[in-house]
Amino acid sequence: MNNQLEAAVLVAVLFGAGLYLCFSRRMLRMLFGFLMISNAANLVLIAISGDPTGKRAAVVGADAPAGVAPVDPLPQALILTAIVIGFAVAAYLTVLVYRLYTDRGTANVTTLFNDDAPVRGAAAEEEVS
Amino acid sequence: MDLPLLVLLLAPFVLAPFLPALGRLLGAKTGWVALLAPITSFAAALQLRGLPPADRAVARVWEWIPSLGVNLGFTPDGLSLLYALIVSGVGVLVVFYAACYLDDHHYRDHGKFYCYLLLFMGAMLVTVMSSNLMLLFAAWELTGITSFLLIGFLHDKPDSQRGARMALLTTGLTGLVLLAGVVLLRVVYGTYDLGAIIAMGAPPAGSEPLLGAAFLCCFVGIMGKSAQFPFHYWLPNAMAAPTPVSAYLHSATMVKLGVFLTARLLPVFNGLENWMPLLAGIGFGTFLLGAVLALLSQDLKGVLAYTTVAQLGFLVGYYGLHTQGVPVRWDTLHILNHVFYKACLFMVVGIIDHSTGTRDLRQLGGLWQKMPLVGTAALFALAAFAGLPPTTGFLSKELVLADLFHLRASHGGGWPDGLVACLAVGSAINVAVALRIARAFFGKPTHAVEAHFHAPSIGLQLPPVLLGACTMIGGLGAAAFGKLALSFGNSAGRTDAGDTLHLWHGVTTELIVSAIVVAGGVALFLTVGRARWDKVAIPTWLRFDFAFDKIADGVPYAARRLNRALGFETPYAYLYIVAAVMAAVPGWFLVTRRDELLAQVSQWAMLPSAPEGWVRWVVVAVICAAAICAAAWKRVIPQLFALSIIGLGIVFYYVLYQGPDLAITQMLVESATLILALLVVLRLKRDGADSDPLPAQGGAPKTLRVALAAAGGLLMGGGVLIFQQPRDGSAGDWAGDYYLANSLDYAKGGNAVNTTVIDFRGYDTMFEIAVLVIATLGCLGLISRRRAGKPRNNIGAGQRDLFPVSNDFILRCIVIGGFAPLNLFALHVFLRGHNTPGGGFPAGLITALSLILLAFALGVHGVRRLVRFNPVGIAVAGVFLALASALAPAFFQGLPVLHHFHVYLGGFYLGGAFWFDLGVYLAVVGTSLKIILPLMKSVHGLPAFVVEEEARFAARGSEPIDLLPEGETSPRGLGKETL
Repeated sequence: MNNQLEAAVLVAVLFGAGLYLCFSRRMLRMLFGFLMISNAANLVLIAISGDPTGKRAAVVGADAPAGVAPVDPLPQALILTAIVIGFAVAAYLTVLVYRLYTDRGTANVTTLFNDDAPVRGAAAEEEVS
Repeated sequence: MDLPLLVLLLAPFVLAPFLPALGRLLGAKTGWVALLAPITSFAAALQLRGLPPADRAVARVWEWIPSLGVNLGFTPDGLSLLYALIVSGVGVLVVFYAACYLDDHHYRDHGKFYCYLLLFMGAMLVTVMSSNLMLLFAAWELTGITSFLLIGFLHDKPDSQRGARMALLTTGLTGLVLLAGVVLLRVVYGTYDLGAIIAMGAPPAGSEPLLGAAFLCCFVGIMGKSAQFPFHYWLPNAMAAPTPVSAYLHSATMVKLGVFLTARLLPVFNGLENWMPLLAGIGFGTFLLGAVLALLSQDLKGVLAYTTVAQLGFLVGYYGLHTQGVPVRWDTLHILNHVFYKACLFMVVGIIDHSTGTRDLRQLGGLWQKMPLVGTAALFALAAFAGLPPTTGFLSKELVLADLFHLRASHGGGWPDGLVACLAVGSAINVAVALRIARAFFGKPTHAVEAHFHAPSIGLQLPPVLLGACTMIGGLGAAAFGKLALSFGNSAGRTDAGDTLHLWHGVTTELIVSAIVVAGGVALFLTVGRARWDKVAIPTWLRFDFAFDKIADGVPYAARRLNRALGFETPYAYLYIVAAVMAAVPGWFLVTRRDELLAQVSQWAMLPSAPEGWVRWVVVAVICAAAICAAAWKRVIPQLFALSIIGLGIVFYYVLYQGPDLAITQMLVESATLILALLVVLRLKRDGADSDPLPAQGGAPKTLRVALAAAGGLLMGGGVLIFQQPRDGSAGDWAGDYYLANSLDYAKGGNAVNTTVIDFRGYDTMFEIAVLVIATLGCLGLISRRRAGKPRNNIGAGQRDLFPVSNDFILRCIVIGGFAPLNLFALHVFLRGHNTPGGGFPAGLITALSLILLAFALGVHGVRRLVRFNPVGIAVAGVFLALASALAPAFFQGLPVLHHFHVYLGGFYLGGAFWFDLGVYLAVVGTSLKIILPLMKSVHGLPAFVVEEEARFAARGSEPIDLLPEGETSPRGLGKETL
């Protein structure tokens, strides 16, 4: 028997909200959406690793409580790797957004890909330097 | 026979690689070294020819790709040897000529030039000697590539670029069609071996249509290479090459490859009675067209190029007569004749260009007076070109006319009449062209000639004089020349030694036609008159090269248009398409299989049975609320709050799922990510860019966005429901059980998650930290790249410094006081990780975050003063430490990579896994610092005091984190501490 409906709800909401944010034209919102989606992806893995009710952590040894089954360590190891790589990608994305902003003076993609649109703050930058 | 064959083929390839280096030493003298290769090849070819025909007509085969029937097979038969002798013999003359022609003043890169030239020669030799069609094709394309390099040798000139591009595209694309033809031949005959194909004789029954297609494909290749109509445009444009190249490639050798291949494949295709007239039609048509275009040109090299086009048409057309009852007997004579006079004329043009600085027919005159030796050679060659007795050209034309009349007699009137007319009119025009060129030698020297003339060296004159003499000697000794030509056999492999050639046949129809042709040519030349000759030009509709340029330039333009039409310039629009496809495809699966799925899902107990299940529901509710808020809110700071609630909620969720390692890591990563996001958000907020009004156009309607997002979310949620499997053992063995059972025995660690990460699945982790370092380097590149244009990150008047160095006593106390305990805790997490939750990755993040916390209180530079190591160095050292601990067992004991040793030092674990984890720790510390600290410094701009800091750093010799704004020099050695 299986009773992890809450995991399905969690993934659905996180993924849906993340996707919605990704559809935005503001790069910051896209970044937030990406963070949520990468979390949702990790949650998919943990959700399909089985119901943890009544189990213990995947630690073995003499002092481990007997009679209680441990959870599956493999999905957790995979998620561990995924979290780290997700962090690396998120860091790169963040810096990319920042860089695009400082170089092009805009934080939304419509202006970024439309060469005719006025660049924000260009005049202000002029007087600064 | 192997030895001379190998010497013949390999001599150019062996010498060529040394020439570029030699060229730097010797300059223009490299040519004399390069001369070795053609001489060697020529000698080897002569020796091969000396062997008895029965001996040498045996194929020599070295395996190459036996499974595909492709091998290195060579058959030195008569046709091959004729071409090999031409290629290497003219090669000797051309390299000699080039060594005199290309001086140090006007040309550079002699080494490269001769290297390309020899490579070209080698490719030519392989092409003509090969008996395997695939090898022939490969070498055929190699000649195209080397000729591209040679035509474009003066690559800073637009003419050269255009000519090289045109030649490469035309011969390369038609070459691909030839490849199709070769493959079709294999389909028909089942082999690439030419000897085997010819030995089979008639094609298998029912394969005529395929054979016809193969013929058409091969013919397109031939037309491309030999510049036949409609591909004739590339040859005149290839004349942008240095003259020795034109003389070699575009008269004597490469363009003859088409003629060569026609001769080679003639025995295969001559059963195709319906197709062969095409060969004759295109060939003689090109002959006429080339002659007309030559007549209308003014540039001497252009004139010669068009006459070459014409002569190649003549040769190709000659083979087309074969099936109509005309035996191919004198093809070798026609080829030798053309080689003699055309190479000679090209070299003469080179000399004229060299000594007078112009090739324009309108400006030349009186050259005979200036250089009688060259003039004589040129007149011999022109006589051969015009088909005047007693030259080889006369013999050649008489023989073809005789063949055509023979054809006419056997066929009656009709199309043979057309061919005779083509030939006669074209020849008459050739006479006029020859007269136009000859005029450059007579009369008084023109102003242009007088002004620039300097005498050519004797070495430069030698090769054309030799070739010019050949046309005359061959004509006068017609019998001997005929014998020589016949001794090579012909394309069908027969040798008719019985025929003897005579210069004088008595008064025959051919002679009368010849006389009319010459008279017509002279009359044409005289009627038009000098003044009008100077004004002729090729009409635009005959300039196919313009059309070619239009097409070649049109392709990228059309591609751009297509690109724009597909929306690649606004790639984010694709997000909707991706999401829609992602929702539609699995969604369709869900809908079609709904009964099955519903039956499965309905068996599950949806609501938790134990209290801890309800706790999970609570956490999920909190996370979901935060997620919906994050999506709905417009302002960035509240969104960040919502995001952090999501992150911490997930930490709890992992705890409830019995994943303590996950929880620790998630918490730390969440903190680091939030700090990163916060830095960018602060900068954007300061500038007001986060709430910029969006442009009106370009967004999708909100309903679409919501619908797509909802569809995607529901799909993922449904997937989770479906993929959840009850762990009752019915699904077989679980990989995780293996790790659990063997964690203690094999990896000497109790924490199965940790041992899986660093031992069982250590490869994953190794590449994971490599990804971390790569991402760091990417970030570093983005942050510290020098900006195009003016620096933008100065803080302007009235703008807030985002991270003023805090003077808050309490904050500084807490941060500094907490630093040591935090790192002790990191050490603890690191050491306990092997048996209990923890490990190198969380420990590394704790250390990095403690330093970043310090940076908030003390400023980036304050931290950098305290911590003097280079973060990237630490990260790279970590990766190498992990790599070393992974490789050590393989290196020392031949065990598999990542087979950790287990060493204990008084109960303290010091095995391979420890060092591997230490590598992970160092990599994480280094990368996190190197991403966050420069970003921190960069986002808040460079206010005055940071510039001072920067200067102090420069004075101390440590690397600056960010670049100074352009134009500002750093004031060095400011001693006063601002902190």
